[in-house]
Amino acid sequence: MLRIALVFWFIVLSLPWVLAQNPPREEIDIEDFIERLFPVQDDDLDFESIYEVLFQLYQNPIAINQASAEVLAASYLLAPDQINNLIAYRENNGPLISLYELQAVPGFDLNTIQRILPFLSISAGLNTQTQPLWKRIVTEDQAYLLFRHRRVWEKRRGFTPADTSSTGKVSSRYLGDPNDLYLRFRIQHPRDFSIGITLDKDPGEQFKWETKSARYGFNFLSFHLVKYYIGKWKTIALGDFQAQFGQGLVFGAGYGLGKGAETVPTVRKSSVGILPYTAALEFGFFRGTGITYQSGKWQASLIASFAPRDGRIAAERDTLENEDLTISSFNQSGLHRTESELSTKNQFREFSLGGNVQFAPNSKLQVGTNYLFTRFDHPWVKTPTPYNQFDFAGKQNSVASLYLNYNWKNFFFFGESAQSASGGTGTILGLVSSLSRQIDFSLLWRKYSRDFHSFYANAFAEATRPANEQGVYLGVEIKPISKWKINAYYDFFKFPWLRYRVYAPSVGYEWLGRITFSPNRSLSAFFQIREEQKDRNLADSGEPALTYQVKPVNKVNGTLSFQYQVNKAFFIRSRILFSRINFNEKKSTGFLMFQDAQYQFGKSRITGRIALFDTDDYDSRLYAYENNVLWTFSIPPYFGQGMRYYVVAQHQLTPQLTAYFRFAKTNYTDRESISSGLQTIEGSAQTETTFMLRYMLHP
Amino acid sequence: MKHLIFLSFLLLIQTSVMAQISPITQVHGARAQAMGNMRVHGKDAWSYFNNPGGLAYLEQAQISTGFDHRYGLKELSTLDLTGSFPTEHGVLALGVSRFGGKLFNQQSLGIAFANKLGIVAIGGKAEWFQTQMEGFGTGNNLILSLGGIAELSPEFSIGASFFNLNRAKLSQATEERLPTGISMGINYQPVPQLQLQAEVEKDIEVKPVVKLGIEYVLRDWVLLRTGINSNPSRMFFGLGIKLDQLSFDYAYGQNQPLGTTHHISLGLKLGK
Repeated sequence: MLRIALVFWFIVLSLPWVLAQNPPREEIDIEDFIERLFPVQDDDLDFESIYEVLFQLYQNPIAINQASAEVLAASYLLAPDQINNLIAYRENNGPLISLYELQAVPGFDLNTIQRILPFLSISAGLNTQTQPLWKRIVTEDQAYLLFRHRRVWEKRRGFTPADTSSTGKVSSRYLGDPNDLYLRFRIQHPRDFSIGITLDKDPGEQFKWETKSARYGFNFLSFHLVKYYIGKWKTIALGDFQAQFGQGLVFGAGYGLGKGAETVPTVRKSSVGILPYTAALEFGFFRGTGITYQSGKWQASLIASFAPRDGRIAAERDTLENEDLTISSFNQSGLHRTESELSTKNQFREFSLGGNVQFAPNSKLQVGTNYLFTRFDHPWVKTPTPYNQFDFAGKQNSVASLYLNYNWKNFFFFGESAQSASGGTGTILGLVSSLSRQIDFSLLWRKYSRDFHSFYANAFAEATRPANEQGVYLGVEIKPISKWKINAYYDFFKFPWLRYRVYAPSVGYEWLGRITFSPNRSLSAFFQIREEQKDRNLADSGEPALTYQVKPVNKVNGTLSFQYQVNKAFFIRSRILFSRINFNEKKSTGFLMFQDAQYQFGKSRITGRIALFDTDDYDSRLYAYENNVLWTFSIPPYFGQGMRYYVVAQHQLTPQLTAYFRFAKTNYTDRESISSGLQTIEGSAQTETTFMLRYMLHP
Repeated sequence: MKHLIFLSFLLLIQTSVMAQISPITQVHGARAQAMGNMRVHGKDAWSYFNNPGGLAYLEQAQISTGFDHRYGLKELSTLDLTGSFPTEHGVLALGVSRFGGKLFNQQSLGIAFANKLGIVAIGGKAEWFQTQMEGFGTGNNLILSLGGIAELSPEFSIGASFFNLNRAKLSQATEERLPTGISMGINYQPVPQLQLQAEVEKDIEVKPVVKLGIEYVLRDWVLLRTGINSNPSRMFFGLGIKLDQLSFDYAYGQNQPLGTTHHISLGLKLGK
């Protein structure tokens, strides 16, 4: 098994110190991890940032002899009893000498070992290097330059010449060209340092040097310098970074796992601390300094950020002389394609100051506190509606929390409780447990008041933000006999106040069941079914006497999947997905069927998919993970009727240079134009290509 | 008048069962029909039409011919002829098919090639396809199809078949395209005498169809078959006679609103 999936050889490279007596390097299937860990593909979640954080986590192998229960749990690969057994084993028998020794740890079956092996290292990987830092940076293997070009070849309306309406108004058009350009430079060594620059230009944006609008060629620039472990300074980050502490009520680094096919470990979050930010998403990160100091059982972090934010300014004239500038809306899309979008760029400054103190008296207990103060340079005033009246308004916010993790026998308890300046509170309490070797169980209770405000939160919630919600989640994983696995969860939630498109207090539930059969490593088949019911406004009936009526939307999704690694070179996957939506006595259904194949030969690999989809409407859309060029991520929704196919090819040209190319095309049979507004394409086909080059500085 | 009735009938079924009406979407061969219109797991000479990947299992050269008669109308009948020839590098097959009557007919002429890669059999087919409508003219096009079967164990295999991958148009003069579809299926053979098959077929513009079928070997030379389809709901029964060189298959199909269909095939093995 020396063949290493190219997608992941980066991670393997991060294991240079793996000792010779360790098992041969294992192949890692990042897609498998993503599919297992990713939240149910339902709402338009920010998948890319979740992916980035997970990816970072896996880039840093866990030092198996030093890792605490907290760190081991953060991998989402081990059940609570396995974590306990490993720690007990270390305590009784001393540190593990070789990774082969994992087989002796009770509860570690071959499957688990194979899965976790790529993410473990035997050495602590601390600064054993004798060379000075600058020399380590210059000679680091993990140094690369990445260039990516993406383009949709059909012309969108935004790129056509502007027309003039009857009133003489010239319609808006995109300022730039349809090319999507992305450039990234990164040098890093796990537990030592990380340096990176990311540059991005979205389609329709101009490639322009203009200080006024803070555009320096590329529209978006992100950079970071992070140094780990200088004496007791665990992390020193400069530039763009994220933070994750506690259960994510205050600091929740894009880490939106939660309800997914993996029903037990993902409900709990680990305090992974300060992470460099490398994604090209133009919001949700800190820009400034983040430092962590660790001394014995104590750890303290400080975060200071001063970041420009996009948004629209409204002028409020209260007297003839006085004009107050307020923020009327934030623009989180990061797109600056038209004059109007460009005018929102960097309109505000956001100042954040926060910190974390964590105390771990022993390996079983961890207590911490978070605080974050945020101040905008203008007050944020939303257009008032009944449903947003408890949302944040004003110029500054602060939010503080206490959290606790406690490991008692085979139970991992966790909890966090926070309060924001408004007086609103948010609380999460839960446990993850191995009830027996066959059954893992999780329970999570959360309550967020309608006026709880936390800008960097990413906590377990049904809604996109932890506010105006109460709920209980139960998850279970059963391994009744070897080769079979059953995952299930049930989540019951209520929203005590009105929500967007739901103008009444509402309730809902969601459950999932998945049965997986994998007789050996190369074959895996599963069937999954999920039902969700939530309320939504009925469309305006036009009858004047009635206010908005609320009715439940019931969604059922199913997936039947089969995948097989035929031999080293050839992989196939067949999948059938279906959906059924029932809203106000109106039913709609969706169906998606696709076949994937992958063939690897020499230094090249080709992956392809053919998919047919047929959904009645956008509500019954279906999501499917798609292969893409290295480190690019996509889970697009399939809706309407048509056929989609793609081919991804990669080839290692020289030891330093690898090229990737992707061609994807969707042919719709039910429409003559695709998308709407300036994104409209006249025609029934959409073609997208992606081209990427990766240059390793020191192969 | 007779023509008018036929035309209006044709238009009616075009909209309701278009999936079964074109030689591209039809499942060919009485054996496949009798098992419930099964496309993927034939593994016989009829794989040329149904799933080119299945051709890779042929060990002997073979010539087969078939006739389908539908709903008592000779205008809805199909005539097929196919020959398959195992070579050093894989199995090569040629085929010709004609569907329809005088006023509306479609014919195809094509070549397929299949080979095994370990436990996976893969095949492709290129067809020249012609549609003729009296008074409307003739349309010609090239159709590409693909299929494969993976044998996971002696008992269990899975496969997929794609037809008209290139989404060929009916003719150059129209935007209307010929149907494109995917079928995915599993085959379970617990004992050599029994085969169970299940398939899901999705034609791009038609609701998905679920198919289930059984073949049972009664005696070495007598085979019984039956199958069902969901949507439109159909039932199938069939009989096969297998002699040394010669084989004969018959299938009877029932489509609830439209009536009955009959399918006959004959096969001749060449050489040993």
